[in-house]
Amino acid sequence: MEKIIKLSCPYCRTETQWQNNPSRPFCSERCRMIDLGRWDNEEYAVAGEKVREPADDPDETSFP
Amino acid sequence: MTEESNYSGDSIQVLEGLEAVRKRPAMYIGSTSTQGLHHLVYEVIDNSIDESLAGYCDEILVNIHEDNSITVEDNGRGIPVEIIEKYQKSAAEVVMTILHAGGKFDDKGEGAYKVSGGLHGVGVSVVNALSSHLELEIRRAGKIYRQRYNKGVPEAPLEEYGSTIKRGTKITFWPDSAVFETVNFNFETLSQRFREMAFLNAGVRIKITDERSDKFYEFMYEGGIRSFVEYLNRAKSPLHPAPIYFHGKKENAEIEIAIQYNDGFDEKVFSFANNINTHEGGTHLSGFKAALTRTMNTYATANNLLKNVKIAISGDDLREGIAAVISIKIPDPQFEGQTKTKLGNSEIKGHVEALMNDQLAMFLEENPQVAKKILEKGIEAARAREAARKARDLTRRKGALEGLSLPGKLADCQEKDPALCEIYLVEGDSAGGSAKQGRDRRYQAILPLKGKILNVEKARFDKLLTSNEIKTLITAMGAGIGKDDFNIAKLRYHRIIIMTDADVDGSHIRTLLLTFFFRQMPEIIERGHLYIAQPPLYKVKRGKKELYLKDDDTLLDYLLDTGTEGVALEMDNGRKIVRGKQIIPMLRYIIDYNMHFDKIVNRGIPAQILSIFLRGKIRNGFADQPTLEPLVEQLRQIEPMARFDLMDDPDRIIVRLGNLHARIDRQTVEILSTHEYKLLTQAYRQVEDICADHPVVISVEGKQEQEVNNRQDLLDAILSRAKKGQYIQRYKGLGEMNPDQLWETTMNAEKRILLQVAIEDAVRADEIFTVLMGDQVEPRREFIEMNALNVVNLDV
Repeated sequence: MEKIIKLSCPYCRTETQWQNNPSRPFCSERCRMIDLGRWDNEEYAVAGEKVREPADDPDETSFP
Repeated sequence: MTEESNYSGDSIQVLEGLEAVRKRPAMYIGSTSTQGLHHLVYEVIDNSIDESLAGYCDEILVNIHEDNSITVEDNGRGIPVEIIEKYQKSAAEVVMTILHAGGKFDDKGEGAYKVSGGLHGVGVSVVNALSSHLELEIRRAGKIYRQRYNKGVPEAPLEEYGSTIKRGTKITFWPDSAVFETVNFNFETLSQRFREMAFLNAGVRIKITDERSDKFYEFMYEGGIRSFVEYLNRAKSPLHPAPIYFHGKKENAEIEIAIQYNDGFDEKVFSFANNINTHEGGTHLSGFKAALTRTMNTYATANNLLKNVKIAISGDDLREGIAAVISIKIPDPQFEGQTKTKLGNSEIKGHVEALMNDQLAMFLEENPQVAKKILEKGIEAARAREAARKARDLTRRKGALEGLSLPGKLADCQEKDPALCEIYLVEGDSAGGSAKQGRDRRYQAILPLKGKILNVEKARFDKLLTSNEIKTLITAMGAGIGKDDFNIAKLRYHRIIIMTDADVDGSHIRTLLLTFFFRQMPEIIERGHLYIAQPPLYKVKRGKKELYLKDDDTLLDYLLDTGTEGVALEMDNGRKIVRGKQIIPMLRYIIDYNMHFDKIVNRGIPAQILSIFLRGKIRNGFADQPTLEPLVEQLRQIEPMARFDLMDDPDRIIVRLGNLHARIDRQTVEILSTHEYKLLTQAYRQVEDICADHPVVISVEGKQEQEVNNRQDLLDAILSRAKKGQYIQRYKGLGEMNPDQLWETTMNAEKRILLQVAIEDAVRADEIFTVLMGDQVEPRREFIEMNALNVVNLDV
């Protein structure tokens, strides 16, 4: 038998499942549509690398 | 309410007889189904609630007996027993036998009850008429009275039969099975209604017992409707701990409102008028809604919370995740609507609105943190509503998204059968160019996509797919979007291959694409149409031999393999000889150790000092000591060449060793308790013996070549041997590959390795994506670099 995949709705985090769910992976059509709107509205950005400042703490390795 | 005498025989008015009730029961109690049956109980209990509203009753007992008869008993004043002149009957009998009789119908305005449940206004006489038997017991003024009825007709006048110190009314009735379709009471239905009544009438205790099944509930809520909203939120996380509560009186109307938001999206607003659930709402509800919308918006504007919000916050937005109860009590409720559950008194809207405007505004001023949370939620709801509207627009743009006009950026293939077609989603124009030239145009299509870079804050750049890219993608797929329009049968390619650079940017674009497919076109993943290409990261050239390696790990494997070919190591002064591939695990231990070592050094311990710690097998435990003196003792023994001084500050050790001047403090010592340090000590155990006492002699093909004195030199010697005569190129991006190379390594169906995306992988990727969208930077980095996507390996 097919394993039931449980997941949380990507929008509202309600517990839902993949199987027998026409709005999968969302819990509802509402959540799916909101998500689509957010893609269209360019609201999904993957946070980029934070450029690291070079560690310069002279106190760490030198002694006055 | 000081005088009990008000509620006496005089205040009873008689309106009508009971004949009609048995003829047309549905006219009085709605129906003769289960609903009508339960209605009988509500009529009886309403009288008790009236007593409690008037302040004379605080406990009501309801018993469902085995024969489906019901007893309702209260500790109120007891129905009056005086003889009413007009009828020459006791007041109690009048109440029990004449329709619309009861204290509440005294329209002089000075009657026993200013406000009453008046549920359906028909009174307990209807219950009597529709019961095969009814027994009435009244305890009043120290005496007990009783009377029995059959189908509403008394067997005898009210009789006095004893004395008591208690007071109250007790009615037991047997619903007439000739009238009702069923006489089977439902315990849960009754309980639900009683719970509601207990909420609406703070302090009243209602106990219900089902003798048929021994079930029992007791309802009593000191908090009244405050407890009600907490109950409505019982399975949710409230946004603020205590419900917001207002009450007050406007003219004749007593108004009570309780509100508590939760983190969900449902709107649960219940309105009541004189304890009746006004399912259809009415003027009190309209007043509530208008005040909520207006006051919240006024507050938000005044406090500059809407400055970045381009859309208005509507009432609907402000009621997402709200649990609220509005309860009003008025002398003359008018019920309208299909089920007579809509309050019609027009003046009430203004009363509720005025009270709530005042008190909510005050609450928000006094509780700015709660106000902010609620408004943030409302703003979020407004944004969500706007997003959904945009999405609907997108899905309705029929034609444009269905491949009628293919995007200009798409280099399509010649083949038309989707089962044979592939599309490569390629990041960037230059890679797209190589891919277009390198592909087999008969069946491979190329769609270059560019991730837009967003400068969010200094030194951080976020990546996103533009709205245009999304539309291009949907169009190229040809299957539409949205519940009604998406049609997998129209998908133009049965292999959709994401091909991005092997760097962090590439993995960001890949994550975005994967997430989009997963959320908006899950069928594509379900049917196994989505793949990830594996372009190489390195090209290694030795003489005429060319080799492509997909990542750092495979490059290292390759270097260790070639570097140890024909090599033998003499260790421990020749006592131990390790040859060829046997050397590899040892080298891996060194690499592993270096990695852990560097990690700790990065956290601020000078390498020399860390080495001393490792050599001395110093473990944690020093952090708990009052001073670092015990550590100093130990360090002096391990490294006599160095000077360790505990200066004036017992938490700071000064170390001098050769040119090194360093400091060990509490923070340094705390690193010793970390998991990373534990891993380092484990790795150290594997390598500490290498080159410890004797140099290692490296020989190649039996010839001694080199002697090394430490681990690092050993590793370097092997790696530089491996690199000798090789040309190693690291591809910074797909664009650096020429079309032939890209074809050869990544696109040629006979040689390439594709990873097929499975649902489980996508579920995980989506969770990662959710983390990536958040502000937590650390988990994000780990996710994306370690296991951004574990996909099933599949040779295609």
